[in-house]
Amino acid sequence: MIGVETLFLVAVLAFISAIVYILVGVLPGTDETATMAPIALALLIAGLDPLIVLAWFLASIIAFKAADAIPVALAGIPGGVMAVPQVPDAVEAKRAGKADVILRKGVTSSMVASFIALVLVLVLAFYIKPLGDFLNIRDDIAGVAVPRWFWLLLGGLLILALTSKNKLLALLTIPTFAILVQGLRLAYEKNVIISFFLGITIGPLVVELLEVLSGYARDRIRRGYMSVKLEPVSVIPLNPLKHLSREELAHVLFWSPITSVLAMVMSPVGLTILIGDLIKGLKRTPLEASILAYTVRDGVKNATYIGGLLIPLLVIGSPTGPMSAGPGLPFFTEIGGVVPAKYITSNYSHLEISVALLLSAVIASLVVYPILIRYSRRLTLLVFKSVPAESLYGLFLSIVVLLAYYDAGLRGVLGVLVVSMVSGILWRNGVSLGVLFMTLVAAPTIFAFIKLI
Amino acid sequence: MGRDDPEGSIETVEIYGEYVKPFDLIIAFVTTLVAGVLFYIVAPVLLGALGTPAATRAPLTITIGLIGASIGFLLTLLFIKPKRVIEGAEG
Repeated sequence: MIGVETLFLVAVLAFISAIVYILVGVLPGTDETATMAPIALALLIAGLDPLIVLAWFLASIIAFKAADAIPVALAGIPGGVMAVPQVPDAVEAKRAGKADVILRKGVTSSMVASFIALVLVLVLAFYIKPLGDFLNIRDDIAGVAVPRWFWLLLGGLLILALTSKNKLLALLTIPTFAILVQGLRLAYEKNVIISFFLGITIGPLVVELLEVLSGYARDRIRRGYMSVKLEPVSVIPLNPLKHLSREELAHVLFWSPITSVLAMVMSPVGLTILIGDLIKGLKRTPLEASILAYTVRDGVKNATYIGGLLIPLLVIGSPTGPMSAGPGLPFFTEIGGVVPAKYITSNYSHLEISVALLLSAVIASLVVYPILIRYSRRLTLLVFKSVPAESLYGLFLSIVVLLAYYDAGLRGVLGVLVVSMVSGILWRNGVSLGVLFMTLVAAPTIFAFIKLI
Repeated sequence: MGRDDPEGSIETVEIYGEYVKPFDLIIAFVTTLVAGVLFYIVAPVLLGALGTPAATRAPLTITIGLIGASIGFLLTLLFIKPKRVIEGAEG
């Protein structure tokens, strides 16, 4: 039974999470998995109730996915990987002096989509819960016990591989990366997952750093400081009803529920690109098309993250897509003998979970919306002027090293290094990181099938 | 090139769309890691002295280690400067 104490903690942590992730979201170069997963993992390891950590995570999604578009709108610099598809549209709008227009439309769209997706997912999860029992049945296939959700995961994995930039390499990565992971587990004599997960997360950063430090990145050497041009912003009214046109609102209301469900197995970045490109053709001028695409994409980002995490968590209890197997993986990982996703669904009723998550979403929105609408420019200026990229990257790497050491000692740290180098090189060569996250989850079953051949 | 580096003499490297000075990055990493490890090592002793049960000592140790890393991060803000020049800051 959920108590007042738990709800109080949900509210407090949602508030803190929203503040922290507004700042993280505004910062350029902050990868979602690298910034959200280790903190959630640390909170779970610290023994905090998984429902409270889930509420923290939801607030961080709402804050991060709204704030990462702020530097896009004001400076053309993405605040996170998910904001990258918005850059060309923001540049088009900025050229026409519409930076404040896309800023207010984007933030409002984010908030609307978050609530639509959350309510839909909570209702849907309640009704399709029996499907979860069906998907958790293990079938015996040639002597391998295969849970039925594995086929969903494999289907999503193949879709993601086939939509990666380098399709052939992505497809080849599935069995080979599974063998690497299982081989390392055999060498460790331990079912390590956290270290490997963190290794994939920081892979791109580690490879870039190693190239730079070993002098292999001459083409990326720059002279002087980076010049950032911040667009002026007029005072924006707080009333959200004034920001979206009927057409934009209709698109957000239509696409956010659909994409939140599709993200159960499909890539959030892929969906954000796809939907934006799809609706661009509806407008006559490039400027109108860019504003519409930017606005809807901002909502789709939130919706895919919420649906991609909560449907697998509440219905199946196992990760089935790039979101749940990526940033959301800590909730599906055994920590101290408990799998947080299973703990949440077996210790709390659906109503209790819904109340906690809705409370978190309300608190996060009440913090995020006014701050981003009123103070986004000042905030961007403050963060850009006072937080160096070096400090932030240094912190990410240190957190990963500490968590890996806690997970498996020195072997864990070396495991992070091995997996991060392989992941970073594959990513550099056009393999989506989602392919690696999902292969990590599917590795034991894939390896069992490989052994049969 | 900008106000803080008028000659454009500082050599930086572009990583993730940010200009980074490799030496500063190493200093930042070492500072945050050392702070994290120090807190991680001291944590069990401190928790033992406070009479914390053994079962909760391990997870709290990593939490205290991460708090140490965060303190290290705040320290780096004092001596590492962002490599950005903001145009239109007054707007």
